[in-house]
Amino acid sequence: MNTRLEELVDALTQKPPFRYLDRAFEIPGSPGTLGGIAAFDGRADRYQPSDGLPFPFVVECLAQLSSVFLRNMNERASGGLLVSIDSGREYSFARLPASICLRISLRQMMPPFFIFDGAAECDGRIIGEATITVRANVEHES
Amino acid sequence: MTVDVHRHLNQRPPFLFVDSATIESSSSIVTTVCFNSDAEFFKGHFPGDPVVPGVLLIEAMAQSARLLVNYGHGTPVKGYLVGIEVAKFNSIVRPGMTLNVRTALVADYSQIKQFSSGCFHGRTRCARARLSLQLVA
Repeated sequence: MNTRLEELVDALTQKPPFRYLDRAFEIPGSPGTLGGIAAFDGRADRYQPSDGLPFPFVVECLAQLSSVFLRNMNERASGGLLVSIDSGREYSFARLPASICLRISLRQMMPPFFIFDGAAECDGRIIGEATITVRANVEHES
Repeated sequence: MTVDVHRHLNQRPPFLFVDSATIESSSSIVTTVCFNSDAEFFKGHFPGDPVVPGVLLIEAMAQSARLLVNYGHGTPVKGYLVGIEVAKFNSIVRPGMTLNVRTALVADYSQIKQFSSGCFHGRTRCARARLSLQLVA
């Protein structure tokens, strides 16, 4: 367990009920990559009418993990603001409640912009992928 | 033509973001969306400084696209948001701001339909995206 990453997850500007990232961890042998776990409780009042996880929430999880990545890379970074979803694909539906395994890789740095490739898995299958652009060192994260 | 949102969308509050809708043609729709300040997600995004999450603007655009599809079919059709392309978030949206969401069908591959959508507050574009919906037969 990486205590620093745990602290960075706790320090995310997003707070419950809109913070979905529960854990972040480094992936051995994969520099520039970060893994994460997000849990969705499936509360009906939040995700009606379907019991499936809406794809935009998968993208939000990847954005939250990218904020942790930026803070871990640069202690002075205050996180990141999601400025674009360059592409996103949903391959299958995560049934709720669900635990989502996340992975992001830094594709390109053009400070203050950082482009990440991300993927999400549930029950051993990839449910979606996205390429997102995050602007670092701003007031808010998204 | 004004559309009955509750008749043509399965989503219900608090996950129904479209307040009203006007069909402009068989391939375009304008909806109004307003995120009320008492929405639960504002407690966490962000505490003391509420901002509408960009991903919920995407969901609002997707609901608008689905409304256009469902209106054409007469009843709600099962379908999923399967693709997001070039989504840009241009300005912050605060609680209580009324947005006009303009959505147009730009490609139709039968079960896959692609839409171009934009969220506007007055004349300011807050977000835009190209979305793909997959319909389930």
